[in-house]
Order: sequence, then C-alpha cells, then structure tokens
Amino acid sequence: MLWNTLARSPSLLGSTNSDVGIRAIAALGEFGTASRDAVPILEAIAGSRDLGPASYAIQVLPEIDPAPARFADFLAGKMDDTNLCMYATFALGRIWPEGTLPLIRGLTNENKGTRYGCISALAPKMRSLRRCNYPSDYRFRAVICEYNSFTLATAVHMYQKKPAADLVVPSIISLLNHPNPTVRMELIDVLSRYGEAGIPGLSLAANDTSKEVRQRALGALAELQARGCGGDDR
Amino acid sequence: MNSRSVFRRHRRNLLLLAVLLVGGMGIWFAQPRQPRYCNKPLTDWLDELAAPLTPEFLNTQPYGKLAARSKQGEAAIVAMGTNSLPYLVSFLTQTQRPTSLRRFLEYLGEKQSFINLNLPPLSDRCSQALQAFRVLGSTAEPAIPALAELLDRSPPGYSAIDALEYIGPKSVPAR
Repeated sequence: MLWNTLARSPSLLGSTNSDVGIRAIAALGEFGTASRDAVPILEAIAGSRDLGPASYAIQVLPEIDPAPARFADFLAGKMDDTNLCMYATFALGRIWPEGTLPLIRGLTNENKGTRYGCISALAPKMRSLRRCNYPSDYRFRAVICEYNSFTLATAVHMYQKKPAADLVVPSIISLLNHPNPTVRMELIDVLSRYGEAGIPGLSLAANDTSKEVRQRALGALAELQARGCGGDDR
Repeated sequence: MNSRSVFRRHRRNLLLLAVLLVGGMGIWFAQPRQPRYCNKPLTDWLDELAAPLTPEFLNTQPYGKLAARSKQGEAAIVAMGTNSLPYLVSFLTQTQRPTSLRRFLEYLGEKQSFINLNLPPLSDRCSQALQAFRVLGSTAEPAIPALAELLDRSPPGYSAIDALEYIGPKSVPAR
C-alpha cells in the first residue's frame, strides 16, 4: 500500500501537496530492504525536480536497496546541488565502502553545506549507526536526526572559527582501514592538508599493508617536516 | 374514577410511550457494539492506553499510575485483537473537535467563576487509534485495505501511513 501510495503520489504529478508521498517514503525507510520493491519509483522521485520528495527519496534509497553501491555516482552528482547536497552526503555515508571516496573529495567542495555534510557523514558514530548493529531498536528516522544534529554541531564548530582538523582528522584516522587502497591514498592527502594535526594519522598509514600507501604516507610526513608542519585548515 | 377509566384516558399517551421505548431499545440494540474486554468497551481501553494528557491531568496522576494504566490498555488491545480494527480505522479519521454542548459549557466556565466546571479532557481518538496500531503491530494486517482506502480520500488520511508503518513490511505490497 505504501508502494502504491508513492505511485499515486501527487508529488510525481508536480502538485504542491506531497505530504502523503513524503510520509510514505519515510515509512519505507523504516522497513529497510523489505521495501526494495519501491526502489524503481524512489529512483524516479530522487531524480525529479520536486525537492521535498526528492530529498527524502535520496536519503531512503541506500537504506532499502540491497546493493546501494550503484547509487554512489548518482549521489556524488547530487552533492553539487545546493538544495540536495546535505541529503546526498547523508546517503553516501550509508553506502560502505563505495560512498567514502566521494565524501572525502567533498571535504574540499566549494559549498559549505556540502563540506559540513561530508564531515558529519564520515564521523565514526554516524557510520556505526547501521541496522545490523541495532537489530531490535533501529529507527531510520533516528539516524537522520542524529545526522542532522551532527551537521548542526559541525556548522557551530566552524562558525566559532575552531579548527576543522578537530572534526575531520579523527574521522579520517578511523577510515584508514578502508578496503580500497586508492581511498587510503586520498585519505593521506587529506591528512597532510591538516599539518601537525594529521601526523598521528600519517604515522598510522606509514604502517599500511599496501606498499604504495606506505610510501605516500612517508612522503607526506617528510614533506610536512620540510615545511615545518603548516597546513590548510579550511 | 376507577383504574380502567384512567387507563382509557391516558391510553394514547401510554401507547406513544411504549412505541418510543421500543424504538429507543431497537436503535440501542441495532447500533454496532464496540468490542469489549473485562466489561469495558474499546474506547475506555483506548483512554487507558493513551490518556489525554493535559497539564491538570498530569499534575493529579503520578507517572507510575499512568504507566500501569497504559500497560493494562495494551493488554486489553491485544486481547481484543482484530475485532477492534474497524473501529480503530474509523477513529483515524476523527478530528479532536468538541461538541456544541462542550463548547457551550466551556464558554460558561470562562464567563463565570461561581461554579467550577471541571470538564474531562477531550480524547484524541486518532492518536489513541495509532497507539493501538502500534500495540497490535503485524496483527493489524487485515486493516491494510481499509487503510489504503483512507489514503485515497481527499484530503488523504495522513494517519493511515503511520498505521501502515506500525503494521510493518506487510504494508509494502508485492507487485
């Protein structure tokens, strides 16, 4: 019925009354992959110009699709949409491990909202909020609330002119176990941008299992030493 | 004047009274009866399950007592099971609107201070029904078609989506 509701939802017909559809989308998110029949229609809604339903559909898609990695490129594209960037970063954060690379690249996005969204989505706490970790009391809406709180806290932190490294570096260090060596190399680049604050992470990466990653980390450490540990703290 | 002549004089009135009595009883019995548990109807148990929480009510009821009442309400809803579904679905469309008599009494209460009209808090049947759907969970599956009909209405019954969510993944139909 929820699925049919979406199919009939006025939002798809361009009407301003999209409350029913939005509520149905949120409810589908609570059921997880049991709602996978609704994926095609949610894809259509996520790609539509109706921002309200699209924002919900973007967040719910990775939750209900058994193989959400295929949405990584679509969501990475949405990160440049100033209206939907926060929802896209949230959704990418739910896609492990394929969603990590776009988020790392998003840390240098020109749009503040995207950067804050990426910082929040990469936080270890956010990444641990998964259905498999909370089999009995998992609530998808609670995860969204948690993310919104993280994003607000990030924005407050940044507007207080506190260093971004305080938030980014712990997240990046926790990601150094990423299965993809290319991603780990990018993580080293991020760490080296934060100067002295990134040194603990770089030291950890210097013991990586991949030779290329180790070399990159050692190179970054040498470079930092050479320039006296200065760094970008945007 | 003997009793026979009295009966003759008032025969028409007595006949009218009897018709009214029989008619009233007919209407009473023809009405669909709410499911009952422990001699209390569904609406009473809904009030137990989700008591209307006004500040005055909260001040007079200790939390422990409220929680115990809610537990009893949950047990009753489970016991009544699917029998209560038609009523719960109809309650989802009810708005929390006071009757004309209540509005009049409230108006009277505001205009004078001699008599304290302590009216009972208004029950929000819609939210109570939702709580009942929460308690019933997937047991309420037979209500899915009726809830889907509520979604088709104009304006749509938004609460129906929450009720469907409480029922669980069975409310996402297969193709």
